[in-house]
Amino acid sequence: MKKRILVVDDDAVVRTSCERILASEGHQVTAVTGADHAVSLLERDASYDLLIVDIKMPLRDGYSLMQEVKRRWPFIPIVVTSGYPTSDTIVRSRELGAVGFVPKPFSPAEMLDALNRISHREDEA
Amino acid sequence: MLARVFGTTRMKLVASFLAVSFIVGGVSLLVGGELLYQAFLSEARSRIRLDLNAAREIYEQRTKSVELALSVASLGSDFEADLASRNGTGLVPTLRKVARRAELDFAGVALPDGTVLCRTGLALSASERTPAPALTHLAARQGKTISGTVVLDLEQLGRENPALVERARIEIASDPGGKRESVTEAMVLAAAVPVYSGGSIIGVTYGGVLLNRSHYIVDRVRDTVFRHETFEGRSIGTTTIFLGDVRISTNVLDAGGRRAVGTRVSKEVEKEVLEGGRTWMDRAMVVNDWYITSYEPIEDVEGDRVGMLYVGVLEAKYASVRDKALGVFALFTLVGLVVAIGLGYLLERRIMRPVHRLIVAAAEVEKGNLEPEIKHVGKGELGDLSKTFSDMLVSLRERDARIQAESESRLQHYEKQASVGRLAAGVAHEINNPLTGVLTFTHMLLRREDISDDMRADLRMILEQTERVRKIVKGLLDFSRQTRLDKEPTDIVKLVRSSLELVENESLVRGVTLRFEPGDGLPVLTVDRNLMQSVFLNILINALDATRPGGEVRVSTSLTISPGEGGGKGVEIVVSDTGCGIPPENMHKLFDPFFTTKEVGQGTGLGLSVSFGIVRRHGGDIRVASEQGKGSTFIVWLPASEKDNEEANTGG
Repeated sequence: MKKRILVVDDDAVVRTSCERILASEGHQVTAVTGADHAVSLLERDASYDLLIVDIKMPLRDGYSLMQEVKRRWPFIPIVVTSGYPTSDTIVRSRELGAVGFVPKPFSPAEMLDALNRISHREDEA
Repeated sequence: MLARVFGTTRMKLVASFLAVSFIVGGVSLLVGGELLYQAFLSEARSRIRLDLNAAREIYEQRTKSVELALSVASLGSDFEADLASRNGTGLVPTLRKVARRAELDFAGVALPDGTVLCRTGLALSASERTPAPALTHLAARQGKTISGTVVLDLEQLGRENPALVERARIEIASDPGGKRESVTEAMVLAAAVPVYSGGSIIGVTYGGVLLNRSHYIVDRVRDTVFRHETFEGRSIGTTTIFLGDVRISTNVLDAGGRRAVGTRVSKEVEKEVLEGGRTWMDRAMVVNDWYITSYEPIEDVEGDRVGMLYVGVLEAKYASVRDKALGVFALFTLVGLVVAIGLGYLLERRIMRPVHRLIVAAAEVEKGNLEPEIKHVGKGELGDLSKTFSDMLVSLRERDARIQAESESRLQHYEKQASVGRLAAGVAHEINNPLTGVLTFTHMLLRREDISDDMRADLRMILEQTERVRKIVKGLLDFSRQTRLDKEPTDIVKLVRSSLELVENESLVRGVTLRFEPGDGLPVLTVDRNLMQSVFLNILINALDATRPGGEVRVSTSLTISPGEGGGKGVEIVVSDTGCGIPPENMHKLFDPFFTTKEVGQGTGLGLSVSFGIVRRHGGDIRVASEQGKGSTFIVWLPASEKDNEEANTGG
């Protein structure tokens, strides 16, 4: 099933990587550089199937974005990526409602595996 | 403050010396002074006895001289003839001549019937019959010369010589307001010489000297016996003749400097001497001064006690000698005291100054100065003490330096670890983003089918190396990340043994002997088994890497006390190898996250620092001892918690 996916990451190479990996599987990907940008995009069109959020970003971090998204668009599942994955990061992300966690650096297979696991769970649910 | 001053050793020493001086000086003063005084008194007593004898002698000589003069006057035929013919007027010139020569106050001739024939005093009318002094009756009755002390009443004295009455009358000094009394008798030294003619007594020649106010005898005693000795202007020796208890002849002076004629003797003396008839020998208050005195009774010719003879020596003279002696003693004592204080002070300086220096040095040490200036303290026990003290300081300094070096290196280590942790996190984060890109695009390229095999191989090389970078970054993150410990009670011997099993093959391949010496009775420790095993593995692999074939890696576990403060119980896991050892210059870099001596690709350098972090998080410690060329020893110390100890105790 092809999805509409919103990627939020301040690093261009990560954004591009995500676009390439996800597009290779036929997903429709939109990538933005920050949390505010993501929110304004969602306000116009909230019909995304998945949000991939980086934690460490300038101005406004991933946790803050997750909180807002969970409040306003609770039906959109979120996957967290982090270049500094600590047990704290994982626990907090889960608390804020993340359904997946992909530590950086990731290979295309790792990212797709994570998405597949989410899809299976969604299917089961 | 005062107690502090008096509590000092100096004061104690000085006080001790003072006490000794006081006791010695005081006893000398009291005992010596008293002994000396008693010696003087006894000397004075024996002297006064002699003096009294001498006075008595002079007193009796005077009597004898009266007797002799009268005896001489009675000799000669003219005298006898005149007496026989009762020619009184004829006898008078002779009597007067004798009286003048012999300094008699009166003289006369009595007839056997007891009346006076003639006398030097009042002239007699032819028909007058006046009684002669009683002495003459005695001489006539006994038919021999009688001489001695006689007491006459003033009437009788007046008959013998009217001029004497005034001299004999003595007013008795009495208390103010008391009844005025006067002496109405005269004490005389008299003699009566019977004159014989044809075997019968035809008359008695008599005469005498009045003692009242006559100071001949007393002054003679003073001059001959005491030889003008004086004390503070006063004659030290005094003599007195008493009539009854009244001084009638004396050279004792009253307060006005006059002879104390008319004063009375004390009651005690009167009772003892006049009434008791005994000799008095003691110190007594005489008029105004204390004297060492001697009194003896004077008996008249009939044996009645009529007066006293007294000799006394001024006590003040002896007392003064005693006082001088006491003064000298006191001076000695004082000098002793000064010497004592000086000696105490000097001794204190000699003994206490070094001690004081040590005290000051000890105080310095207490303040934290381990190199106090200890000045020369001297020889003997104090020198030894000082040396021991210095040695102790050297040990303290060495220990301090050791502890400081250890804690400094440890501190630097922690600081380094903390900052490196932050750095690693930052770097890892930044590197992970581009790595994601590298991984993504390499994989994307590899998916393409239009690339040659060579290119594919190159892309695989890129992937491999990227994986390597990824591992390094992961190691960095592992190092900085504080993942939660999954602790559970663990038999540490078992854990070490399982770690050894994992490297057993490796050791066989390398030809290195593995030996394990497990300790007994070790407490159960609560540790994260996986992490702790990775620590042991890391250390074991390091040991194997360092050891050449034929060498040995020895592992032992034992129960120990913490090397740090607190001294808690714990377990020590010691891994010793016979390897190349660690060069001293590398010792402090051992726990540096990026330090490695291994070839590039062999190790990341993260192992030991990660191990150290894990052990620290268990409350333990890793120490390293190494001798280059002989091997290294890694000691992992893990604390046994209270609970663990209980378990170990109840479990055993």
